Amino acid sequence: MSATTEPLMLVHQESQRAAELPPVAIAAQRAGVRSPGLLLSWDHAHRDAVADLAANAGLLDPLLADPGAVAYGRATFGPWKKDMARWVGRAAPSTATEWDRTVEQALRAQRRLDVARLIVPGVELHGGQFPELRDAVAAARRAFQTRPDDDPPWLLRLCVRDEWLKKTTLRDRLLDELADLPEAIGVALHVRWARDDVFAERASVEPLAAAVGDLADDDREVFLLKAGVLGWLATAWGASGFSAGLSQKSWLDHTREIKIPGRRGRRPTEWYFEPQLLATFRRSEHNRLRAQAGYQPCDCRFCRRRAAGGAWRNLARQHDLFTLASLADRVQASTLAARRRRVRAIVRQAEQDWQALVPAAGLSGRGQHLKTWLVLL
Amino acid sequence: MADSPRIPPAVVAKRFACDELEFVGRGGQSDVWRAVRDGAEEVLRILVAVNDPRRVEHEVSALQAIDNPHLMAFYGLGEIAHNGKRHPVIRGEFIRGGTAADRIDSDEWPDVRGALCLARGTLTALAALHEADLVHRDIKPGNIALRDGDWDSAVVLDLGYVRNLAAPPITVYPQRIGTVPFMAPEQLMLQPAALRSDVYAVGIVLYLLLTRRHPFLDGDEEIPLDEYLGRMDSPDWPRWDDVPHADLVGPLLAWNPHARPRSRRALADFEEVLA
Repeated sequence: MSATTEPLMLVHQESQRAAELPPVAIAAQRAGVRSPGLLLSWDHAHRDAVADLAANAGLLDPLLADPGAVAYGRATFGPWKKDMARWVGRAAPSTATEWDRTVEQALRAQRRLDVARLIVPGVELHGGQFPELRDAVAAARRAFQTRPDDDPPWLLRLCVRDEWLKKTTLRDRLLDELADLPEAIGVALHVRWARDDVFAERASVEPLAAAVGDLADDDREVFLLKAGVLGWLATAWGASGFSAGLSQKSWLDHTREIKIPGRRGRRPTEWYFEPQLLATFRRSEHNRLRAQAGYQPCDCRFCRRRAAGGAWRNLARQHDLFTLASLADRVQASTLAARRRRVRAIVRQAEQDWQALVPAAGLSGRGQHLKTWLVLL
Repeated sequence: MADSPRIPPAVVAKRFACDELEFVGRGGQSDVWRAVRDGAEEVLRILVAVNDPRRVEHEVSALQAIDNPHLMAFYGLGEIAHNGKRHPVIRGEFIRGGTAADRIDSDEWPDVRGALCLARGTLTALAALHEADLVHRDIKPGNIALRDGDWDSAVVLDLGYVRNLAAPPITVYPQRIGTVPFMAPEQLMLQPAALRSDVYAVGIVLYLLLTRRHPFLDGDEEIPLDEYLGRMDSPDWPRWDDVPHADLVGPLLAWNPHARPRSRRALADFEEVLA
């Protein structure tokens, strides 16, 4: 991703609903917005599903493929027992030889897909898993030394629990280990937050800003996986791109199920990401917002179909991805400082709109995230 | 270096058919000689105390991999037998002018520009080494030669402790490798040296040259390691009030490796200041 194309937003593949992703690119193109790319995932889908989606990506461009680094030892996927990628099917690598084999297989599979970035499989860091980080870094380094000349840029995938960012000692340790990576290897960082409301907390967002800023200041590319709107926000601190999916918990509660009193079982809540306010609202809340003076309804393809009675939840999800692609498009700039100014302007406007709309709609209690973000921008 | 060689000069002269032979000094791992062979001057570094042959392989492959005027040129690998033992011999460029340590010992200090030039030359060599995934691990005044005595012509010597990040490790940690007064905190805490551990060492050397004192030691004092580490991590150490270009030196001495600039970026900073 060059300075002129950053930041890049990717939609990422999940286990289901892959067919809902290419329409997001079509909607973007028709709206004059730069199309999002596609992040395939061997972590979330079986081998054939990855190949199928790669072949049917449509306008989703560029293409990246996440080798996964969260759970190994899964030979087959779902009740159909479909084969997972070979490295996902084996136990997590523990020796240099196993690491080299995992990295080699994951990179070879990505090269076959003609991806725009190669992602080296890494580790998920829990407390005390420091040696595995070293193994992953060393394996990436070894593989990088023997890379073909025509390889695209590389990213090392790291999955960290939020404590690795929030505790200064752990964050320093993480950044210290990454400091020895060749400069040309960027970092694809996947942060697993303990709660899904962290995006409003300064204690969570500020460490993310610090980590992204440190890496970017070290001339290292940073890409935030599965980060949603936090990923977009992080582009102000130097992230070159981010991915978001149809169901993600880091910022959007689409997958959270709430119990309806008086009923047996659970049913999913219907959520909608409001572009004007950079926040997620329940369907009922959103209906109240729409009635307020000054509310600007989204005119995307999905919202038009939703208004016409289309499947609310599915269309809202696609709208969310379209919105993030639009936001990424709006903050393109030739310098990081200029991009940060654009992000700040969008957040500031959202904060002003919040004051005008949310209390009038009788909604309260949220909106702190915009104040938090403004402090850090 | 102590004065006496561990292998007699006659043995060395005969083995390498030297026209001239002069003992330069000895270090922990090696004896160093200046030799003239077929009319050409070269250095013979006889590795008399290397406990693992892989270290020699690493050093030789590092010297072969890097062609940089600020790194000692490599001429070849030889061998010498003495008292029933065979010792590897690294043959390389002999750099006239002594080392920075020799000059400091003679109380000949550089001016500010000379000190910055020495840092620039050292960082030039380190940037080349680091590009090849090699950590020197023993940057100190004694391992920085001054070609023709010129502070602007620093040449990094002695890759005996070089660590190849891409190769299986030789050192079994925890272990302390290097020279304590020039080691980075992570090395002192028995962790593997990082590329930016070398940058820290450059910071110490530069601070020393600019102020004529070690950043964390008063004179020749000897203090326990814990106390020394405490000073390295203390906001009260080192003193910056009289340090020229403190903004340039300070980041080199950051406690965390990631907070130090990589060698190539530090080099660019020095080049900008010296331009």
